[in-house]
Amino acid sequence: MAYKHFEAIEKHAALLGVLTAVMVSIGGLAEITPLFMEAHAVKAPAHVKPYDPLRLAGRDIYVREGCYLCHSQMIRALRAETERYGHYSVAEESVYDRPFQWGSKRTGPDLARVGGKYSDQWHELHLMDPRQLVPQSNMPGYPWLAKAKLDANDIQARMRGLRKLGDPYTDADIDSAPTALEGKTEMDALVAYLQGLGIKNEPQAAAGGKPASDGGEP
Amino acid sequence: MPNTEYYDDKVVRLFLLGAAIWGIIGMSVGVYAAAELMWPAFNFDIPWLTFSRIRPDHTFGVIFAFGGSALMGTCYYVVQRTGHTRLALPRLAEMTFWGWQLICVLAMVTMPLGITQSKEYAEPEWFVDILIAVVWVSFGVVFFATLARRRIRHIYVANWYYGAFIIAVGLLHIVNNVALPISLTKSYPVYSGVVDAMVQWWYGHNAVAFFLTAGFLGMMYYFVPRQAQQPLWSYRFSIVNFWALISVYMWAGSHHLMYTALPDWVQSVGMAFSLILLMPSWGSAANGLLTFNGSWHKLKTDPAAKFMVLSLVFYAAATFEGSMMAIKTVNSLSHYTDWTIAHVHSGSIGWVAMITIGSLYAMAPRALGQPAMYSRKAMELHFWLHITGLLLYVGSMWTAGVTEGVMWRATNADGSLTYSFLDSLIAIKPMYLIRWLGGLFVLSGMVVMAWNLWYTAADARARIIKPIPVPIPEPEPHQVPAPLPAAG
Amino acid sequence: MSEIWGHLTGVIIVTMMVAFVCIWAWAWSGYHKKAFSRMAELPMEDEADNGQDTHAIEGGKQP
Repeated sequence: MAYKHFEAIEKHAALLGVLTAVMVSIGGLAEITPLFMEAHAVKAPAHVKPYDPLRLAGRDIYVREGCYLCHSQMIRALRAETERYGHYSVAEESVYDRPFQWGSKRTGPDLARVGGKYSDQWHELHLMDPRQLVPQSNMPGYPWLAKAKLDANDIQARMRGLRKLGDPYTDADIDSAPTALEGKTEMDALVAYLQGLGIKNEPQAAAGGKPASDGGEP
Repeated sequence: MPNTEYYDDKVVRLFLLGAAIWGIIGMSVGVYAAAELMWPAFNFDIPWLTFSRIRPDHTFGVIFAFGGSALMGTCYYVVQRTGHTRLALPRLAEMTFWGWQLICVLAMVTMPLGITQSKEYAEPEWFVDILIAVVWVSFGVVFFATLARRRIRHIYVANWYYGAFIIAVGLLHIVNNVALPISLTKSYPVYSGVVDAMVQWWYGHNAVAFFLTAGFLGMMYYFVPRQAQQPLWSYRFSIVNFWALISVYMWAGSHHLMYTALPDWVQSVGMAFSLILLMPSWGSAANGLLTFNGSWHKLKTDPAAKFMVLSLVFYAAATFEGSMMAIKTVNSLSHYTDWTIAHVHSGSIGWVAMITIGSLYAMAPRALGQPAMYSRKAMELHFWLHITGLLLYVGSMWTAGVTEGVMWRATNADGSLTYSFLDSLIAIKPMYLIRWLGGLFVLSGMVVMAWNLWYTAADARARIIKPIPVPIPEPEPHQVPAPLPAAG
Repeated sequence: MSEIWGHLTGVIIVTMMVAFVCIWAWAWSGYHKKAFSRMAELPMEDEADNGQDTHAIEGGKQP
């Protein structure tokens, strides 16, 4: 094989890599770029506030325990879904969700609008041992949450981090955070988070706004 | 020209060992998690034993630890054989092995402790993600450097797939895991809400495309013709399929988010491309199957070939099912149900695990300096255990999924819902038992394989394996870059 | 989605289809036939040097 020939082949290997990267990127870019622009235009409506300290701590526990593996937080625009869970989910509701917790599997029911449907005490008992309230349930118990105290120092670092990413926390919000968490357990925080779902973040648009999807009826 | 160059198979053997061990660990966790869905008290109120904490261990364990080790090991094997050259940068290659094992151990330990991003299939926290990026880039460097030093003029098609797998997975991993660390154990992703969902499923979908499809197709395109002892049915067809597959797959990711708060046009584009995707998928499956044309008699005597043929059948079936599930009306029924679980497992236990097992059975004796696997009967047993488990698993989850889908949407004449959510759970509980049994069958097959590999490697453990010389095609007087120095 | 973006996506898709047809034509041109058949032989060469068959054969070592 001549020198020139081999050089061309060497380029061939790099070329193959580059071409692959280009082909792979096109599809993603074509779909994500306009979405990125559109989604960044989705601003939180005035009354949708970032999570208060207790609910933020509760959300982080929800994330830590991996609840999304069995519970979705995304009501699809289908009649059977809205009948069961309430108004379909819209984009504005999750602007402060890092990470999003829409989920992909319902071993248990959707939780997007679970807030206010049960009492705090029901949630506590249910999380301690689901089968004392729902004998047929296959949800695991999470009794350790009731014993663990919340870490009040960490919450400020978390809120400052979220502010860096664009969530509008004020200095006062952050300063008062440890007081809000004082004496609370992880259970209290998780219940507070669950009780806010679908209530605290429900936009007025959910009453009669434009659908997020075509809402094809099944 | 005196032959003083040998293939570097040490790192291949290490990855082989890694794959066998991680396969058993990952599947054991899966069996345990399945048992918890049936008997929830099995978490014994211990946090790190609870379903929601160990489910990421199962997915990470089988996809990245088992699949990843098998892919990297076979990739190093194939790139040497198809280039008639020794591995470039053997030290770095060995580093990728230890690095990858470290990552797997770290991830598998931290996730049950609650150190997780809770982004599906990308759960490990930021410090593990950085390690993954570093090892992945090193893996790419070794692969492409070896490719550049090859002595065969063209690049064999299996390497195209391995190359695409390396490039795309690196890209996906880095983009999806951009996060702001708050402490060692906690970070927040820079994306939120809809954007996070889109990025995450762009990652999730294409991890399936490039990790579980392109990577294992690379394996297929080398080991299937090798095992059939005939050239590919159509080499040029494999090239066309390559470009079609990698350019179409990326467009289809949004089918994971149908009827959600994602804009409509993205959902429709996703559905259209999911249907187009069927063509390159079936093209590859057909090419692999037709390669066995004329040597079907091998299926009688060679369990490795049986694994490969069945894996291709399941590849065709799972991609067909996937495209159907991307049709909006089907998706409205199947989404959120166990049908998704059935689909994923017909792809992973059917296609991914079987092509891997077939390739490992083909590669292991060669890499271990043996004429054949220690026991052919054990391979045969493994095959039947695996198939039984697979059919039990997919059959039960498919039934469960359709049951859930139908019950969730059933309405009475007055428009009210017929069933509560709990009704659907009670209805499918027997299916969870069958699924657990299916998992147990697959796992016991893996144990049989590990036993067989252990005895095949007996000789290798007792003495140093005679290295395999590289067949050097012809003297290259002015080769640039110079051929790799002989390994002595 | 803005109209311009829609046209751009359309152009990309058409370009991809044209490229696909070109790759097809390239792969099927007789010019490459020799190289391709050489490449297709590669997987069979792994055992050429010692003539051993690596897959288990009837009467192979049994436990």
